[in-house]
Amino acid sequence: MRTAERPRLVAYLVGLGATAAVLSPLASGAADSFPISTYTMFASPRGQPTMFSVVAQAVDGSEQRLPPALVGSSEVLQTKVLIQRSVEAGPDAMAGLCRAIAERIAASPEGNALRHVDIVRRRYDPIAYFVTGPEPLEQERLLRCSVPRASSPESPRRSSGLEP
Amino acid sequence: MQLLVRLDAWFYGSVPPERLGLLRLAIGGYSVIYLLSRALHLTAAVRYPASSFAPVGVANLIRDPLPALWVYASVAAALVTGLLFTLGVAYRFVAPLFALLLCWVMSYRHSWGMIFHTDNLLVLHVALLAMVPCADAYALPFTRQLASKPAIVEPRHGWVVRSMCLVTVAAYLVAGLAKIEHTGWSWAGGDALREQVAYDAIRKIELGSVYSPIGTWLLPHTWLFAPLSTFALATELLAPLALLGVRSAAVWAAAAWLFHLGVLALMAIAFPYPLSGCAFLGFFPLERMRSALLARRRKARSPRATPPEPERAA
Repeated sequence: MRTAERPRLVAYLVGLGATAAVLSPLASGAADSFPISTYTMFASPRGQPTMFSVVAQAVDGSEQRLPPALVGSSEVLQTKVLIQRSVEAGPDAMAGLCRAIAERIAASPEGNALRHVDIVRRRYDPIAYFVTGPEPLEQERLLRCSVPRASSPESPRRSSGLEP
Repeated sequence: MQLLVRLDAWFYGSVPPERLGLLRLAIGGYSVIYLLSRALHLTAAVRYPASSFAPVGVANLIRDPLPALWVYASVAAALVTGLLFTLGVAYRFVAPLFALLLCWVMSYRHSWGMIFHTDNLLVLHVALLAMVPCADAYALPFTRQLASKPAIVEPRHGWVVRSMCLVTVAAYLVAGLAKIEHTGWSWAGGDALREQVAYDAIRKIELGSVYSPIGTWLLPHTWLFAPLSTFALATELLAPLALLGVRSAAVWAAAAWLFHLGVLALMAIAFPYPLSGCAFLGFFPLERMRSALLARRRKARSPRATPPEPERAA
């Protein structure tokens, strides 16, 4: 090959190679990665998804959602994964997460108003949530731990169902 | 045969150094601003439990999370090299280093169980720009010299700009075909999108985050989602039309920008790279657009010719 043609060959290899790499998930069926992605984020129907979340019980008994930063990440989607992984890893991982969140709450300005931290599993009909009402189809409390007070720190305890 | 010659002329055609310089300035500048604005998120991984580490892309080179110091250092190094890349300083050495660091920092950020799809094109575009000299125009040490020099046409480097367009089009096409593969053509009917908007809002409510009130307000209006879905799917599947010329690229880029604006409005999910317009710059003759803009500005600033006063009658 002539030396003058080499840059052209490199250009085609790189340019078409990069394009083929971006298109490759269509043929290979590979899992999502970065920066080569399957871009399946909005592709599949969601059905009635089960979600894991962390909520706090206030002193007056009301439920409060916790901002992602208190749960452990500044990003909401990474927070979701953090909770899900802890649940999948089992009781010890859940207890660790619950305790860490409770300690962060205790150190925050909201600490005095919140009594417990619950890790919950809820299944929703997404459309019905907004059209008819926000009640979940099913719900279960997986773990409860107390927000530590300076005088009486409590350890997490397991629970099998939601309290009334 | 003639088609191949035309395709070769398009792919390996000439691009003035000004265009490469403007692409470097815009995409490099965007990268620096983005890295700065996301620095807290990029370094948040130091607080995640090691059990959550699930490496993707180049992060597969390591098995365990990096020590905090390395995370901070890699983000800082990406910022510094990004700034030098944008200014065109020591481009030959800095550009590949910045491309690698940007890819590393972003891959590491996505290696905690949730892969975001907002940074893919940015990383690919920077990697392509790093492969050819993009600092022959509008670079810090040469700016004044080039201002008085005519543009030097460099035929070898147009392929990078064409490759940027190709990967952009390919990414949107993959996103569109993924919808057909997973849901079928019924995706255009609107139900999947409506469900997606509702799901996204619940997920954010459950996680105590900000959700889109516009999306949830529109949910009872079922009929709206069919045209929105059709528009989104058409934008993705028809992306290759953007390669036909500047006009079709302008129409497609406008549609893609509106599509991302819609995603932002309905789901509070921002794709900042396309929303900034930088993702689509490769499709356009930036140097000519800049010249036209400057000429128009000069014309607007120059004092208007005053009509001669009529002679007074004696």
